[in-house]
Amino acid sequence: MSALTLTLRETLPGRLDLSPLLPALLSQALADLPKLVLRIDTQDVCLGDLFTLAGDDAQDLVLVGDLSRVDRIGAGLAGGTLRVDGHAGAYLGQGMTGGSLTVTGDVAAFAAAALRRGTITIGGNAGDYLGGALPGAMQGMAGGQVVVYGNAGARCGDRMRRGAILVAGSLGAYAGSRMLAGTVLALQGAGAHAGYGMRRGSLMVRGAVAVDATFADCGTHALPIVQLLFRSWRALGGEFAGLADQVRPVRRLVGDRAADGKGEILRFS
Amino acid sequence: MIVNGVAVQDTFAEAFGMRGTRLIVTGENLKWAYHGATALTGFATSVIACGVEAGIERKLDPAETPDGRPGASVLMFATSSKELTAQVERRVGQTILTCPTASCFGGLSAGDPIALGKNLRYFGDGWQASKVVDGRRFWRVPVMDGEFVCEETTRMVRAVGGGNFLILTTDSAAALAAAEAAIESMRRVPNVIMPFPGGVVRSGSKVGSRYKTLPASTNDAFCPTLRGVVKTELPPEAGCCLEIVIDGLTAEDIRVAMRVGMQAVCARGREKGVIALSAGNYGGKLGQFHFPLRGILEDTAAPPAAPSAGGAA
Repeated sequence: MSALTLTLRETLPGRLDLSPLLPALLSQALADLPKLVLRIDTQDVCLGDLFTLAGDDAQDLVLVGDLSRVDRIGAGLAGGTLRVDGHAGAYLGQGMTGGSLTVTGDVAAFAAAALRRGTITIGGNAGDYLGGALPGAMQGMAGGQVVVYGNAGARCGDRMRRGAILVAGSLGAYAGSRMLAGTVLALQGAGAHAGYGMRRGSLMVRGAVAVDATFADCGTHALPIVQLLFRSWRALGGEFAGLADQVRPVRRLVGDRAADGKGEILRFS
Repeated sequence: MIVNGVAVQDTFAEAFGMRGTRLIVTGENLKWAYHGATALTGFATSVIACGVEAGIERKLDPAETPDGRPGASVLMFATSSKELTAQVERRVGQTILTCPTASCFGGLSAGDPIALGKNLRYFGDGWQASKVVDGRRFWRVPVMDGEFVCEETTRMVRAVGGGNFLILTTDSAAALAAAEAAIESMRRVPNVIMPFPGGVVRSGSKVGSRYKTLPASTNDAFCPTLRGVVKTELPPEAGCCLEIVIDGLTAEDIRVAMRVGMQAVCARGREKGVIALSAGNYGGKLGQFHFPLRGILEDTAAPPAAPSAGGAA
């Protein structure tokens, strides 16, 4: 068996919703896949008209091409692996409950929204609301792990409930906004209003971060839990691997005191 | 059976099913990790009155612990899951929570979860926070030196307690030297502890006594000062007897520890005052596990200790 590979034939005229793909793979024969009806904006279109298919292992799915206009890639993924060779659109891995999703390029907004379990790896940059909540939902990502080797946009980890978002680059404004729990790490700083409305959880930032007055400075400490977290990320390689090499004292800023106020921004160098 | 002049008696050790767990204690340095681990395993020689039998299994390098600090692995055994659960919580709460810089983690990857920091976290009075790392939940409790980090649960497995052998020697000095040699070798065996002081016990017991309130009393058959007035088990030249008691995660672990220990004793031989090896049992009717001394010593081709229910950390 070889990886089931879907290669985009040509640039899409509008935004394509790919969320029907994984349910179809579970319920239909592979031969029927080209006839699967998808929607581009308001138009129905067959999958076979957009992608060429090769391979037969649906547990090892590969999407190739510039999929920056393809939304909800990997929505509801429950197991196996899905790799995108290129960019991806919005709502990547929405509501995933398992498996591993990898994108080599950039992803648009709301990647890992409502993630439950599994891992999402993004080789490039992530858009706004990474690991955030779906519109109307009270909780964002509630488990699993997201690794971004580039930067992440604004409101990273918005309403996040559990799990970890690890960003090798920087975070945009309002990082960790309205967080309920979980861990967000950035290795190259964060933008304005970090931790805005944060109730619990940890926002760990190496480098510059603008902290609002609603966070209380609780001093610099060498915390065993930080070392424990760093060690758990060693296997990720790159910038993440070296974190555990030395004890890194953290500046503990507790807040957001305008909300529940039991979250923390941990600054380190 | 005579090994290097030491008579290995045709008898067996009788052991019992217990519940056991492994805890990892870490600290800023080995000194403070051991302060915690030593207190945690203090007054834990026998389930008769201590509630639990516990000991330090071995030193752990920073690379082996969850938080990358030096540590010690501790084994604890009790007669019931209820007692073990109560003792783990009470002891960790009084000795590791209190020990400067110390953290506590579960050390088994299989078994039933029992509370470790699950209830101790309330010491944080609302300031406690948890982190789930690789599927394991850790509690952070603010304390006066920073944070007490404690895993939510540890794993409890079915284990074996009460493996033992008796060292019969000409005098006290020879017995101590032989027992120390045995313990030194046995400490290298994984998944076992010898819970008595220095790993050695002098007050071996028999079932029953002449007092109706006392269910166990001194093992007079091995008491040298009574040799003329009781039915003694001591050879004429024996002037001292010491016992080594072993608790292990599996029967095979105990077998390996007994073999290693008895070999160390026999290596000292008759010229260093070792006369015989014997074992404590209750006629074979009380314990589920029997460890025949001769069988264990002869079984040199036996496989090494079976992997325990999970490695350290």
